[in-house]
Amino acid sequence: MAREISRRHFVAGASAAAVQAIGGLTRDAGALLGLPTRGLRVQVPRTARGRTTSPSVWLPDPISADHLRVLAQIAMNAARDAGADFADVRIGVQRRIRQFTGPGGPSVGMWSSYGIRAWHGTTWSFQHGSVLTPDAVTAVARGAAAGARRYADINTRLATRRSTHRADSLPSFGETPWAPTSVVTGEWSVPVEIDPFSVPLDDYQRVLGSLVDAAVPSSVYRNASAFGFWLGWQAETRVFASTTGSLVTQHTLCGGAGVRAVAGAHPDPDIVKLSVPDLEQVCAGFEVALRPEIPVQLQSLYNAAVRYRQLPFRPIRDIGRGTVVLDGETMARVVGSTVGSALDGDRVSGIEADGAGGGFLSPPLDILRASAPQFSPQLTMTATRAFPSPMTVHWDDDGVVPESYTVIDGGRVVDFHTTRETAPMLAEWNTQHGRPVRSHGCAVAPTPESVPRCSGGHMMVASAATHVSLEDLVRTMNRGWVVMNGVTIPTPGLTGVDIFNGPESVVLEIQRGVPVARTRLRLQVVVPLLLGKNLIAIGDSTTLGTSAIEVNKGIPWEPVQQFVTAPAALCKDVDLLP
Amino acid sequence: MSRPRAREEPRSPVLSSDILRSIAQDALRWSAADTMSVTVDHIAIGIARVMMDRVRMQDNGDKIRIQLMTQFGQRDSVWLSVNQLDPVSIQRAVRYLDRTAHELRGDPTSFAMPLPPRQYGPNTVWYAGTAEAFTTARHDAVATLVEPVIDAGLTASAFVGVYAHAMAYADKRGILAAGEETDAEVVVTAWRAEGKGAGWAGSCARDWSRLDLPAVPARAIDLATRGSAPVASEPARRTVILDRPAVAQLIHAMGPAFNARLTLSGQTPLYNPATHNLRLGEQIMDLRLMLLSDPDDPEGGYLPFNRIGDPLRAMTWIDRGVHTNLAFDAEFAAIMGYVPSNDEPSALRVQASPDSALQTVDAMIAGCEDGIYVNRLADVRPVGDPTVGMLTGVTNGGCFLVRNGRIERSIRNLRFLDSPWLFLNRVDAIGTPARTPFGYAPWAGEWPIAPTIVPPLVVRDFNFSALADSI
Repeated sequence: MAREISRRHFVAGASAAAVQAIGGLTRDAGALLGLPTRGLRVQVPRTARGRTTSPSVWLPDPISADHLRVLAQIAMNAARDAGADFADVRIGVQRRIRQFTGPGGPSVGMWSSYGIRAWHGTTWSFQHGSVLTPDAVTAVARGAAAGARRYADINTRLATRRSTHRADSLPSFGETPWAPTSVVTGEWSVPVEIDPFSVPLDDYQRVLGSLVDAAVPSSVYRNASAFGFWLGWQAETRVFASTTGSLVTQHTLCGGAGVRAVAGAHPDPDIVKLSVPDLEQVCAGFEVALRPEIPVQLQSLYNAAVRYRQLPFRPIRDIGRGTVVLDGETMARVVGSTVGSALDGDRVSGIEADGAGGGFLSPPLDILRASAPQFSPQLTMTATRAFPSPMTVHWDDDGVVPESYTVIDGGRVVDFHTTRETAPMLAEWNTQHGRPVRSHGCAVAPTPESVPRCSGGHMMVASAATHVSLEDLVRTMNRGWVVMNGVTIPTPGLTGVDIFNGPESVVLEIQRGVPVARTRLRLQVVVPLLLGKNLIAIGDSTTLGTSAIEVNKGIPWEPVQQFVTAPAALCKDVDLLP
Repeated sequence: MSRPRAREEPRSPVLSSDILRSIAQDALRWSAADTMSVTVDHIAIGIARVMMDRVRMQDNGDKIRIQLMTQFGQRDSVWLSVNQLDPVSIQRAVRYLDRTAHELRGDPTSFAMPLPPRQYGPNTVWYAGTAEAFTTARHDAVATLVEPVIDAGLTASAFVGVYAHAMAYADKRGILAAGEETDAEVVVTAWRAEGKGAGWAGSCARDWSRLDLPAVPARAIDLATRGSAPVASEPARRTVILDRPAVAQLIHAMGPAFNARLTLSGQTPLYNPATHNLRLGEQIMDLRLMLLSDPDDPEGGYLPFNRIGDPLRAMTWIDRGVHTNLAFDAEFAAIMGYVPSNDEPSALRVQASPDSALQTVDAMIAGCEDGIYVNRLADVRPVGDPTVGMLTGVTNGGCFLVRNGRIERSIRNLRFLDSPWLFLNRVDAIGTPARTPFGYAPWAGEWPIAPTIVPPLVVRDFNFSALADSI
């Protein structure tokens, strides 16, 4: 039946021309559509055929990088023709797979989308879409250019208004030209040994089964259980292009395995769960799940989980101040959700003032010029997006090559996370120190259709150079608590953070350096104190833990992720709450 | 106020629900499956964000989603979603689904509860004015919102957002539902020169013409101007005047508690652990208060069906302080023999019973000897035992000490720790309800937040637990 469809970019003709025939359930004929769908997710059947095929069979053939590059260049030509002074585009395809233990096939999915920024003067506009046809991307590019012109006029009017009402006629932050970037070209892929999308689903089940088998002796003898194991990856091909001639393609892959030792079994609420570290979000392929050390780590974790569970549970009766050891994962969350976020260029520049908020490390130039260090001299932190971090990219979403940089050196803030937009706020400082005004490459668009925002990448807190294990830190405590895998929630302004038990946390009461009980607690810390005069010692590299931090940015808000690796830390005078 | 309109006005940002409905029906016709459902959505947004007196960015875009589910007999179902609208692509998707669904095994003993016939209320949440605002009015609004703040010597952040959504659902049982909705929200934050104080205000409505644009910056400026040199006030249990934005944050967090499945499993404050009974029929808050939701609410309406075609009905959750209803989803209602079914409320209206005396915020302040006025809350999240419903968060965008019937001075922001299930028993005064904006509120869900219509309240012994650093 005839149906009126808008003459916007839902063009039937263009998409129909590219459609491929659907055949049987073989790899080549598994393509659903010639054009990738914006969102496709399907539950793979639990049949013999389903098990022996790889995940890619159940997805359309991903759109080729060549096609993405062609569309990117069409978009840039359209933006230029529409009068944009400058424009850039991110266009990409994501594939995902997730397989759990237990009944049910894996879930696989594919998404594609794009986002185009266009500038007119110093005003920019953003438009996004998901239909990957030349007509559609052209329409979106034109829309972005038109939006930039419209709002440039409005900004001129507002600037005139401001200059007549304010004594200071200094340019507003947003009127400052963005930090320059060079034209970049090339293609880069995460080094992968085994493509998870080419592995038969039977092998997924076998690997999960072998991990469960590694846990079985413990579950048989010690009231431990193995559940909730999973394997999952996300692969993306993303093209970045700009009207100045940049054209780069990146193939990223991130994922891994969720493997945890569980002492106790449902429905018993008194369960201790410990996860195998550095396995869940790794920049690598299926080879992550085949690491020979995983069963050994799992056994060791089961021993620890059973040992912890044998300790009596004793609620905290007294409140006040105490000494606490935060393990690497908890310390990473504390640092990442407070200091790491407070160094965010979007926050200190005021971009997120009415959104995610500001932070206590602003104004940035005052912080950089401070006479005294802001934190303990034991605290040194760098940021990177180099391989093998989960945040690894060769070019960020501004088209900038990321660099590794130090943000805190011996307790003193020496830099901030910056993008092309926020780097100019440090221009005066950088010029004084003979450094170019340059983005650190912190622009992150969670999906190609997202507005790029600032993310600190992967922040690494330096561990102690001398040998100081977690046990060494605990042994020094006459009385206190050890928090392992604690949950953190920062306060607005990021000067404080609450630390408390989560579903997979273990909190131990320590007396004379020995764990004597398990407990639940809630700590309220003032971050400049915790990481300042209350920081007694940090652990060595054996105590390092990594956590992912997610911050909702923008309105409408969208989660932006960053990672933090930190050593364990011994802290005094930490407030305990009832 | 414009009424629901016929479709195909020019320059609509989304396709009409009639078109989406015909797409869904076509997909059903092409499938040989015994069971099939199709949900088609088209969402468009238009956003402008202002920072430091200039438009930093605008963000426009739309999304199409066609979600198809297929099942043969008692085999497992399979589903996928696509974004292509042309018939050829949808036909291929349907064929792919049918072929895949044939491959599945299932449970021959599984049994699907027969569901009662469906009736949907009228769709009253599309306004042509909001659809037209995508092209012109929202751009013009920026200057209206920002220029007064500049003139007042303050710095403006602002947000202008418009939203349009069309949805259609169809399945092989003959259930057919379609509707459209629009929404709009504007928010202004006026910052003091030293950056240490701010005033926040906003306006939201389904109908763009109902936004009171000039009032928004005026309110933000007033709050910012009063907010100079805040002093610390000792955290304690205090009498508090909660203005509508603050009440909205707290009320919105109550919605999930009306879920019958959660409540029957003892996970909400609506389950009495002492008696192991539901609290239906108990008085659980002030006798003057009513909580209700209605798809046809002139301010807080919503589409009268959910994504799987279940009808959403008007329901009174709290009537004069007495708990009267729980939300049984369609399947659970059929299992439990409960009628009518309904989803847990995301849109809520709080109002006083008809015979109650109402007060304006000014009257509340005038009647307060010693208390705190709170404009808005931020970072609201549940904490502790879910059966208590305790919430924590911080005051934001205007917090003042009230003494002897007047605002005495600005105070530093405070952290609160209290439960609406408790403090709604300590209400001293109630105002007139109105639809209330949220602004930046990821803790409340996706933007735009479902309509929340609330009055200002005076609450005694509201628990402020600590000072906070929010601005």
